[in-house]
Formats: sequence, C-alpha cells, structure tokens
Amino acid sequence: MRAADNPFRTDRVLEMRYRFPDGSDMEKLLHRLEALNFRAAIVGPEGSGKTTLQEDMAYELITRGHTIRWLRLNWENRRTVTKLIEDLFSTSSERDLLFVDGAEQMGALRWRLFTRRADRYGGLVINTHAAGRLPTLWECQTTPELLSCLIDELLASNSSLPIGEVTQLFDQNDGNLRLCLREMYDRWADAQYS
Amino acid sequence: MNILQIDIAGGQTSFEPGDEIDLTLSWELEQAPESIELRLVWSTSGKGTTDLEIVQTVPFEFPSPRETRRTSITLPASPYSFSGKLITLQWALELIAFPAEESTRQEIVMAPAGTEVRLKTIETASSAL
Repeated sequence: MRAADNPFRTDRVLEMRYRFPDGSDMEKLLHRLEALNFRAAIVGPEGSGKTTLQEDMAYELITRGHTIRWLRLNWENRRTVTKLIEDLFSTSSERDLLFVDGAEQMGALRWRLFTRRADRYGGLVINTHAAGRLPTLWECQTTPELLSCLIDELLASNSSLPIGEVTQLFDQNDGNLRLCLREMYDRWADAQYS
Repeated sequence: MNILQIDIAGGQTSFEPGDEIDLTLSWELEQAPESIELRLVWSTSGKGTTDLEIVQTVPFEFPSPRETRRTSITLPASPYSFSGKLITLQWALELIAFPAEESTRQEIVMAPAGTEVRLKTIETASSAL
C-alpha cells in the first residue's frame, strides 16, 4: 500500500468542501453576512470545518467581485502575529474583505486594536473557537452521521464503516473530524501493512 | 472542449535518473492561449501536508489554439520516486495553458531500474536485521 493510494491522505481530505445541514446553504449564509454588514464570526471547536467553510465563502465572494485578504493565525506563527497583521493592513485596500483564520490566537488587547483598524475595511470575517468577538454568522457542529458521510465518500466504493464504529471513533476524538480522519488514515495504512 | 495531451515516446512511464524523455505535446483549445508551459514536477502526498517542487519548465511562446509540438526533457539525479506508509513522492509532467490554467498531468516513476523505492515500516526493517 502506497501512501498516495491511502483514501484518507491529506490532499483528498482537503478537497472535500463544507457540508451544510438540511435547510441551509451558502446562498443563505452570504445573505446573512450581508445583513451583518460583512462583520461576522464562524464559530466552532477544532476540526469542525470552520476553515473549510471560510474558504468556501471566500471562493464565492471572489466570484462575485470581492477581494479577500487572509490573515491565517495558528500556534506555529503566534510569535509573528504583529508582523502578519502589519502585512495584512499594508497590502489591503479599504474595499477589501479581511478574513481571519484562527482569531482566538489574538489576545483581548490585540483583538481590540485589530478591530479598530479593521473597521475601515469592507468587511471582517473571522473563525474562532468561542462566540463573542463578532456576531455569530454560523456555528460549525459535527455529528457521527456527518463523519460517516465523509468516510463513505473517501472510501468511495471500497467499503463502508459501520455506524457503531464511526460513533466510537467520533467520541474518542471529541468530535474533531480532522483527528478522526487522521486516525482513519493510520487504520487504513496499518491494515495494508499488517 | 479543451484538450491537452502529453505523449511519452513508446508509452514509457518508468525512467532512471538522468534519462532523456522524448515527448509529443498536443492541444486543442477553444481560445488561443497566451502561452503553454511544460513542467517537470515532484510532489508528496500522504498523512502530512503536500510539498511540490517545479524542477524544470519548458515554455512554448505564441502557441496556436490547435497544435502539436515535440520536445525532450532530461531527468535530474534525485529525488527518487518512493513510497511508504506515511508519504509517497511522485514525479509528473504537467502541461499547462495560460491564462486559463487548463492542464493535464502524466505521472512517471524516476528511480534506479525505473522502480519506485518502497520504504519498509520500522518494525519490518528491524525484524530483518
């Protein structure tokens, strides 16, 4: 078994797009974003699809003529946040929409200073773990059924995982779909190598 | 419909480092592209993030919408195509039409004897000692 043939390899997982539950879709979300004057937050725990949804939103907004400027914050680049923020503002025009991935990496004071400057721009859409920094646009939630759907899609016609096993996997990883799919990668690889 | 095609002489897809590959490139595009580029790349896939390196580019200036061109490309000495439990490194030829970025990709193996190097797991490797 080659890593490139593992159905749970990273590039395949990243190709999957955000799944809205019944009754919701991107169009409704964008209407709501507009109603919030393009200042809103996508909220949810780790591995719940926040970044995927934000990227999908960015794609849609770009096709509608908007310019998106990304600020991606994470544990690895936390020491260079000041520079990243300066780079963002120095390369953005006031009509641009600012998209912040990982806004929880900013402390309270930095966040206050950031939003004061961001007020001059066309919009500010963040994703973060907890509600409260901006009006909540969407709350990302995961379920064993969603995980089951993703696993089935990645496995294609190869096979399927019983829902009991999926629920166990989901619970063991606290509903973090990214971790669940990484574990599936290992299980698949181990099965092929054993 | 836009069609881009890479044909390798003799239909060969396995090569050794330093080999020269003769290629026939053809395309049928609805609009005349600004340029066409052949790229020799390697990329990784597996459990971690994907790395990609463009090793060589061959540009074709002022292409017609429908055309066939021949060229050759010499493979470098490394890295070899390899695969294990966590990562695969694969080589490929890519033909890209700009600005639309229509493209096609032909994967190849580049390693001694033209065979992908298979990495053993730590357990298998140590039990063989």
